[in-house]
Amino acid sequence: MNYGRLLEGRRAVITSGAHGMGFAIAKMFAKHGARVAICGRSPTGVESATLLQGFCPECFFFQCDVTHRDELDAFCDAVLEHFGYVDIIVNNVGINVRELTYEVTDEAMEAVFTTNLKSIVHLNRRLLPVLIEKGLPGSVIHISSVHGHATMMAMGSYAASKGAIEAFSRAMAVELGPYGIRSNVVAPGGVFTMPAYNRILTWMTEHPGQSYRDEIIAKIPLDPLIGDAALTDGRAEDIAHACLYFASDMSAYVSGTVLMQDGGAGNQAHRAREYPVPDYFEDLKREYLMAMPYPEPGDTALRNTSGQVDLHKGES
Amino acid sequence: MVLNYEEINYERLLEGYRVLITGGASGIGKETALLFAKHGASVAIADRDQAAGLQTEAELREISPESFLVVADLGRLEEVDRVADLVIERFGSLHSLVNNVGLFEPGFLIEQPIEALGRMLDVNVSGPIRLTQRILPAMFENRNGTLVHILSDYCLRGAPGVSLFAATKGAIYSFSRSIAYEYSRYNIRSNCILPGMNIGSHGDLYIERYGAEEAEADFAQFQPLAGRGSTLDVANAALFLASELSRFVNGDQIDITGGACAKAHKQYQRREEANWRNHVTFLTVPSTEALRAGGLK
Repeated sequence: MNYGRLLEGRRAVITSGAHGMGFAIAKMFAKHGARVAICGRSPTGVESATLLQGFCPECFFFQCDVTHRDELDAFCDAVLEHFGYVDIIVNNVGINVRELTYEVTDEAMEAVFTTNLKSIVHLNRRLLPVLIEKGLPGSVIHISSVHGHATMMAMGSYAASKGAIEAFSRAMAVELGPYGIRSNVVAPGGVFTMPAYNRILTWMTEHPGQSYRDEIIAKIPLDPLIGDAALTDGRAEDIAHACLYFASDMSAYVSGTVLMQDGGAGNQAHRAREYPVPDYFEDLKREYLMAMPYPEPGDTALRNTSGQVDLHKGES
Repeated sequence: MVLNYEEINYERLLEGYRVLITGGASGIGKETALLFAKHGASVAIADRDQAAGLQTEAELREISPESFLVVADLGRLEEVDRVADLVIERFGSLHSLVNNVGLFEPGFLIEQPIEALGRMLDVNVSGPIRLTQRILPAMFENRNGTLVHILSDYCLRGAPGVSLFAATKGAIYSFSRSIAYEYSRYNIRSNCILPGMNIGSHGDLYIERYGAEEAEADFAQFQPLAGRGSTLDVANAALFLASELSRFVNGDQIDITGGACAKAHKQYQRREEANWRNHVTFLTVPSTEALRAGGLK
């Protein structure tokens, strides 16, 4: 196994792969030798594809809204036309509508389930039969969420859709196993991508001239983010590493599983009231926080998780 | 440790790591030790099998010269302490501990001597817990550490004839989850690997009992993926969990079951009812001593 080029010769499709977590996955796959097709709603995805082509010239972007069946079909057609078949599918697309369980509207349920579940079902039933016919092994990766396991206020429809994806993944694992096709779930928790960045920008407009970084460091260890599950600084690349594991032959006999990528947030029963915190714990956390690409006062453009100004503003 | 994602060398994921792998002389432990060494780690292995251990030590040293073997029975606390002392003395500090060693004594509850529980508790529970307790402080100064516990599919899913074994492995599964929260403060993560029934020596025994053809048919009933899982599959999962690739994974597990963990009603899909009776015989006939002599983990 060549660990430097784990996906040599593979053909991957990643929904919503032009920015944030999806783009981090696409970049990781391309670096490891895969051809990657990404889709997204914003035409700025073309720029993301240009970056991917630096690793693998055959990568491409297709503009489509996965909730529109004809557009999703056109994307599948384009993928099959360019690549012939795909042996890695990352079902990354997802939306969230925050409404309480006893107030949630039909519209919200419909929107969440159409994007988070139905689009995935359709994409997979278009692409997988081609792979089965070729007789080639493959890997399907579903991006779920910690909310599929343990959730919080006003996340009911989202949590239900993510739970549904995990059940669907297990069904796929059972049915596709005999063809050598694996199906696994990656369930991210608090990951620093555009929505988190946008929340911080909002905080900064409410606190003009102040640095969020200073604020959060000053609050150690009282900040609610710094719980006992101290790994609170998940990055899109961490999710990409989990996807790399599941896409490659490193996980050749792993199917039907769920891997939480949440620093432990979903399995934690409660926090410790009393705990001896050593002095250097604060240093460690400070070191982490200094390395986080938080916006600084005066920043107007969004930056991506690598610290560069992000070109895909407005789509998250 | 703040990670520079652009500079990760995927061929040397454990460069400069010092790791301890229990039961590292053969099977899953050996495969893991060799893979870790290829990825740049110095590997200490602890095993009671001296002959196999020396062989593995020689293979390891060709790849990673700092690697060494400690011969010890990890079911005895004083021996566990001796291993910890020796490894900390040689390495100074550690980055990763792989609790791999295990004792498997199958049998139905009403037929099994209670002493079997004591033996399995010593090797599968007390040993790993004591070792973790001793090794953790040697990880603090690195401000970085990973604990990987190689357990069993039986932690989460039941099967007839393995209740005592499952109980002992489940203990470490729960242990792992709680220490995950105690030591994430020190940037130390704890995760489990749950290999399925056809991997390693457990699978070998099944094949020995029923013959390759029968066993293969059974595996095909239980596991959606074709064939058996290999020790390399477990080693790769250990590599993922020990390295920074999994730096945001904590208190979690990876099932290596070929999809069996997603499949319900396995028992109705057995080819013949007779197989089930054979399985009962398989579980009761071999004595504990015979199983141990066979090198079972």
